[in-house]
Amino acid sequence: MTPMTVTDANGNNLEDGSSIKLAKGLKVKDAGITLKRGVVVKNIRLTDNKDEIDCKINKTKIVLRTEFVQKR
Amino acid sequence: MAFQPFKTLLFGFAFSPSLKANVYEVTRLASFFNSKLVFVHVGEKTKEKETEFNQLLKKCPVKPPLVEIHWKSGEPVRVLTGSCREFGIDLLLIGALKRENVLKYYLGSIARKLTRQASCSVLLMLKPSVERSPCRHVVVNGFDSPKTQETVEAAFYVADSLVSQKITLVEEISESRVAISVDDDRSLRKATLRKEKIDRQEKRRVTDIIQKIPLAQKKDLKWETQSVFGRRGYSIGHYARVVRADLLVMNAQKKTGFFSRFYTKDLDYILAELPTDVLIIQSRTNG
Repeated sequence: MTPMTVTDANGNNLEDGSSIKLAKGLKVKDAGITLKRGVVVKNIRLTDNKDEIDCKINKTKIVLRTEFVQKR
Repeated sequence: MAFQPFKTLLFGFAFSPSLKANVYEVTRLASFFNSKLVFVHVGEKTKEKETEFNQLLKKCPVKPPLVEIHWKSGEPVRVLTGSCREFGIDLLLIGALKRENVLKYYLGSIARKLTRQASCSVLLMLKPSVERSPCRHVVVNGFDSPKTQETVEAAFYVADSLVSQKITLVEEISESRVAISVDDDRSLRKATLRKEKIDRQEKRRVTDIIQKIPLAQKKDLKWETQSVFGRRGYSIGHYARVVRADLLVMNAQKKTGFFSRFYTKDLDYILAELPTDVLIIQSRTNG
């Protein structure tokens, strides 16, 4: 089985522990918060889905779509 | 207020094999631009078609802020250009083939006809896909035209929204401006000096255009200028193909008719064979 490749908006590979920057302002519907563009998120976790990553922003666990993040 | 040239997007759809890829691509674009997305279907509306399309939209992983679906009947080009005016569309999205065959070139495909007749900006998409393909390099024309400032501003906005890494402003220097016959050392020196002078003038002009763009839009982008000598329209298309640009941004030209196909100029070179995805910016202020 080939390992899953997770890439950011520019096609750069993402790994567990990578730091990313939000490439777009995002509204998190359930949490009722808006994440600003440019916010830096450290220590991301990959998921089973190659289009999504797990991360923590202000102690809130959030799942982000990879096309809206940029590797730092 | 933030600069947002594309508040409302329109995509005319048909039930073709590439519908899924098209829908995924346009919803993604609308989401990146934070725009309202209007879908227009030209043809008969049936319950099955409606259900199929709604299910496809539901499956899209990325949702734009607002989506509208309209079902209309009539001649596609007329209906879609009319819809652009009716819904106040800023950007018309069209799936297009890379090359027109000889007959289509003279008669015009729907995509090319729409490009020539639309009253708003147009994005011709060559390879829409379900998976996102990154837009790394944007090439924009730096023609000496009153429309260029708006085009360059829109190009920076698009590059910034699509998280591009690089933008290149191409200034095309026509053959007539550098055509000097070189017979001896003296004329060679004269020709070289003239070329350098034109190059300097063009670079200064393009840099002035970029200086007017808000810092917020250009701070994350690497930009550069490139002078190309050759026929206007043709050389920028060739350049975009050579550097494998992901998007080429061009000024719109005046509406053209059938006979203009025999006198190829500017945009016609690009439309004859699309080098990559092409965004044509219709100037709001300069017609």
